[in-house]
Amino acid sequence: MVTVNSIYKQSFESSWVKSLRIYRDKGDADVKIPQNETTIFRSKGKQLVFIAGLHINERTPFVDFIETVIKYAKPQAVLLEQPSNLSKESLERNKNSRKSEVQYAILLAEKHGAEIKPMDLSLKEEFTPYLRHADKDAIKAGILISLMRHYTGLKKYYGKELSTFKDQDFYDQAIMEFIRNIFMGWNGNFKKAFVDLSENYKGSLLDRVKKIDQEAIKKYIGPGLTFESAVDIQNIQAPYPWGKYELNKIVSWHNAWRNKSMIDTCIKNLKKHRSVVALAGSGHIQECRDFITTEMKKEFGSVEVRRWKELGSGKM
Amino acid sequence: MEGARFRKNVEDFLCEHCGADVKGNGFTDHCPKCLWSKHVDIMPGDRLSDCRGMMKPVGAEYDRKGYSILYRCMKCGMEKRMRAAENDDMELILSLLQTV
Repeated sequence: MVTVNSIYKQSFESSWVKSLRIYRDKGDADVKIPQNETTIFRSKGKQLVFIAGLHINERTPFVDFIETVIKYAKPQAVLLEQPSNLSKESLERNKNSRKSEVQYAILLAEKHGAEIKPMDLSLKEEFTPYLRHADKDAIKAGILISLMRHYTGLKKYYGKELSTFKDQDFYDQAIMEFIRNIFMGWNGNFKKAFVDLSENYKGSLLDRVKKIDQEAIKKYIGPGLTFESAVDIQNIQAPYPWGKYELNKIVSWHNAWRNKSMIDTCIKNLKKHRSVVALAGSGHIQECRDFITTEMKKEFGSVEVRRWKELGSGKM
Repeated sequence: MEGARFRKNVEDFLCEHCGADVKGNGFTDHCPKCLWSKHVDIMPGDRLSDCRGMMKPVGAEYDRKGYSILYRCMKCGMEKRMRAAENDDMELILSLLQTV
């Protein structure tokens, strides 16, 4: 059985292709398609195509790539990098905004008759290990990571105009509610409150979190880094396992925990379906490839592993 | 919108690269199956080029209007860009984009 610790260890060995984390503002001719990392696993009539995803915020050729893979794989299920407790209704509600790769994937899965399923951890699951194993400051750091990961694009919330506090009581209340939700179970209230906030308020809210967690930041990100650089989306999100700060280890471990959820969900769906497509950020397939191979071998026997680009044209 | 110098020619043809039977719509300038084209035009649609070399798809680009395919003539080396058509093989176009 794959363990979080083994995935964590693997993350130190895998190469993190930073350039794949593309948050594009505009479509242009220079767009890259992750055909090298996208991987096809086949075993005894079962097939998993794991797409090395790009994070996009408008239509790009990556959307066509997703559809090409779905047409090729003819999956019964499409697994998405979304929290496992996210309801189908929630996914459905977002699909028509057609901005992120997830929303496009939902539309394409429906178009081609595949079921959509989340494969990432729920927020509660994400924090279980923190609550069991981490000290108080690590939990604070973890809360920040989660806040950043789930609700913000960060940089856009840190403009000059965001320093004004217009409703201090509300922020205090929202922060307390958020922390309570982390510890007592996620109920969506904070999310709703956050989504309903104006951009100015969101920025101020983050600023408030920054103030209350200065000590945790100092300890877990280390001296010499500003809060702004620490919460830069790449610093806070990417699991840089070679980083020298405690937060690097926390984020790596956090990422390993998420990878385990993705691997387990892939295997569970392969037991049920003949063909499955999974879509997650490209770093996940790099870290999960060997573990998926091992787990599929245990479940179904010998496994053929190929990269999308190796298949060549005419695979359809 | 057709350009001032564009000449629409509705022509069916057999692809000289892959042999596909291609039904033209007046704008068809390449094979939708293999994407290869033929160097027959000086200006789009005029059929005045004497070269008649096969044009290989060597790259692709994407912008807000969609995909373009970059071609190189295998006989004279001329390079040109053509808009992709709706029925073009998307997998081949994606393979021509820069990959990582």
